[in-house]
Amino acid sequence: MAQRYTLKPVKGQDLGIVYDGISKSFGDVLAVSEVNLRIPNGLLYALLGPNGSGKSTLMKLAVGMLKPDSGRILVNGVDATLDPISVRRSIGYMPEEVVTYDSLTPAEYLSFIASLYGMPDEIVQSRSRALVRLLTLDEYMAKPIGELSHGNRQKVVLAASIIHDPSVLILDEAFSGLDPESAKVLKETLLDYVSRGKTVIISTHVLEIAEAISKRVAIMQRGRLIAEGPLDELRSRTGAKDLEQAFLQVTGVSDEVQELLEVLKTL
Amino acid sequence: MVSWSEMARILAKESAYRSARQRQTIRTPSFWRGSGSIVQANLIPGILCTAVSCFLGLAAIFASSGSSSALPLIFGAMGAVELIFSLFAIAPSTSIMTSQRLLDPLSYRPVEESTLRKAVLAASLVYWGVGSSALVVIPASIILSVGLRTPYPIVAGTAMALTLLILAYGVGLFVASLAPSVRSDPRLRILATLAWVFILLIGYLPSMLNSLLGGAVQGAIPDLGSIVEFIPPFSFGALAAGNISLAAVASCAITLATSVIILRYSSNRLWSSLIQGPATLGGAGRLKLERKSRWTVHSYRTIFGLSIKDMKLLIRNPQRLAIFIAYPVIFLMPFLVAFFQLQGKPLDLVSLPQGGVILQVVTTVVPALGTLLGVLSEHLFYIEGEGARDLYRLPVTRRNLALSKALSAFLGLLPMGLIACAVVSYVAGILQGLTSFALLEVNIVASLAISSFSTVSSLPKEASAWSERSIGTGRMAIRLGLIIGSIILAGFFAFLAIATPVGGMGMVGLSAVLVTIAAVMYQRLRDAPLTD
Repeated sequence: MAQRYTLKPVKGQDLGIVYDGISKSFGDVLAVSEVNLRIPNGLLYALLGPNGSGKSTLMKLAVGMLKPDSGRILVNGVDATLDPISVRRSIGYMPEEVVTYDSLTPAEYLSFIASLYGMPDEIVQSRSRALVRLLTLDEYMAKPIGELSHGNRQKVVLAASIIHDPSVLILDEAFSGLDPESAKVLKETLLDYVSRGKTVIISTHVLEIAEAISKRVAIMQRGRLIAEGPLDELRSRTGAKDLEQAFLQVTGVSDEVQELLEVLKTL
Repeated sequence: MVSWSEMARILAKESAYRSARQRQTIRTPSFWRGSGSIVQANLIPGILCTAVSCFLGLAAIFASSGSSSALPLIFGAMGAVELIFSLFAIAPSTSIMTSQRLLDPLSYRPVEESTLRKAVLAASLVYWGVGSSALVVIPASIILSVGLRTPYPIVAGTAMALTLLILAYGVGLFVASLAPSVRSDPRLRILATLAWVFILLIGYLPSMLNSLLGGAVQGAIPDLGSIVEFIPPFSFGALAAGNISLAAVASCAITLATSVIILRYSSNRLWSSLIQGPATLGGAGRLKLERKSRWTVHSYRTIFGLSIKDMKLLIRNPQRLAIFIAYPVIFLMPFLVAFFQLQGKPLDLVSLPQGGVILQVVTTVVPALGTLLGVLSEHLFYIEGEGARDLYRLPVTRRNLALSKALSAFLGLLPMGLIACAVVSYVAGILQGLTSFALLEVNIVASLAISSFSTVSSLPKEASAWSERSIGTGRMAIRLGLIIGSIILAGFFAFLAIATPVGGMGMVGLSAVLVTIAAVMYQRLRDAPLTD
């Protein structure tokens, strides 16, 4: 059984997202259980956890795609359950599954997204040009999205999630499938966002990335928040030399992995 | 070791699942979508084809009264039905294999290429009821042989059934090999759309056959003379009639040989498409000059943004676009064609004694039919496909979505309205034409809005449930209710307009009722996201 770590709460900062006693079930499966989180503005926050731990559910709850069974979620002070449209206008969300309109071109898709946010045309044009250059999408902009590689599709969806310059950015496994150059661009983009006082939440299985760019992390397991706080503090509390070791220790996977490796050797 | 037959079953099942997901439509029964056993897959289509065949065979016996002179035409009709049945079964199912790249997960496994090829061909042939389309011809041929007491029909019928099956199979595989390129190649999209329009309009085939057989009964079959000996599938009919001429035999043999060549070519092409990537209409290996892509990104008002997206999805979806072309044709054209046929010179219409009444019927019925086109907006929900997930995470409300669907469908139907306006103006004067046009468009807009509002109210609250629940049996009941309600309303007001002193004001009443219903539904529709 994993040990539960309670770290110092955030103080004296404006809160971008507040999860207040959130629980969510799908049938008999408890996806998120009694989660309390306060994520301040101007912070890059990493949500970590094994597959099926509830990270994506927690993100979808903030976007108002799912409704909590209990508790409430505030995004910039607005209740995501009561006013999801206002919340969505202030959020940029990139889902884990890159599923979109395959027969549209990236340019048409960005036009569609920009229209939904009511962006002025001149701003849309200048931002889209900048984003396309940043993500090196220029040669793909007139091709159907369905014909692009996974990485390029991901870049298109990423561009769509930030074209309206949201105050809160939620990226679910955004780094998986990106080439090193694009991953670097994304990291810098996120850090730039944070420096402008915006909130960024990422979920990732690549712990090196989380360690490199985030200041504060939350670790989830089986729908529960088992550790939360500044990265340095997590490492020092667990006595781990890096985030990976801390993660394995907190989730209680380390010993289990060793045991299974021993079993495999005997097969 | 997995056998090719087992692999064929798995491929058929997977393509059935992907097909259902892609079309986002009602779940088709297992016997039709290839997810059951070979017997399950062929039983119902086989029974249907046998029933059609028996009907045609008995009708032909009755029509010919012991004579075999009608056989070439009868065989021609049966051949057309078999081709359509088999093409309709094979092309969409096999296209899923290429467009969704179903062989990719198997291509790096230790499976012999010959095993995979067999599996693909078998999956296409036996798990989608394609093979059973030969039963459109064979039972009828048996009946004709017994009825006419000659072995020729059964021999020629069997030969024709197999030849056309090979031909349809080849053409179907060719179409499937091009399927992945439809998204990016406008020429292929146009061809695919025309093919779908043709398929949707074959509903008129029974009436054509009816006329043909009716003509045969009355001895009014046109004398095609010796031409039938040269033209397949009539040449098979010539053989069935005992006309064993060199021309007929050569025509049949050439048809068979050509079908085999097409099948061989298409199966190789399909295989290349499955393994190496999409084939193109112009052939692979052609040097293409890379053009620098031109693009612009624009922002529109929310509803227009949604609507522009819908229009783009629609014109790139041949199956749905064909519906928007075929339905207006089905609804309107028979009236307009009959109108011209009945009246001779249209401009003389108003001076004819009965002209006033017929004019009233047409100018009444044309706007009334607009109410029946409302259900078309539903197809704009289907074209969302998996992209519908975006609607659940973006700032889109049910109202905006419904209005945008009604707007998109209205724009899609506008050409049909303009044609109707032009025709009515031509025969009844510009004022009558514009009045009919205005009423027709108001009725279309209102009925599209009613349909959109009811559809959007029944959409699932979770993105992941879009394909399962959005167009379920509950929605089918609502759709049926809308159609029946539209017919009753349109019929009632058309009756008022024609048979009572109310006259043309009856049509205004219909529009007023539709607009009122749409306005009430709009008010009741919550301006909330789909998740609420």
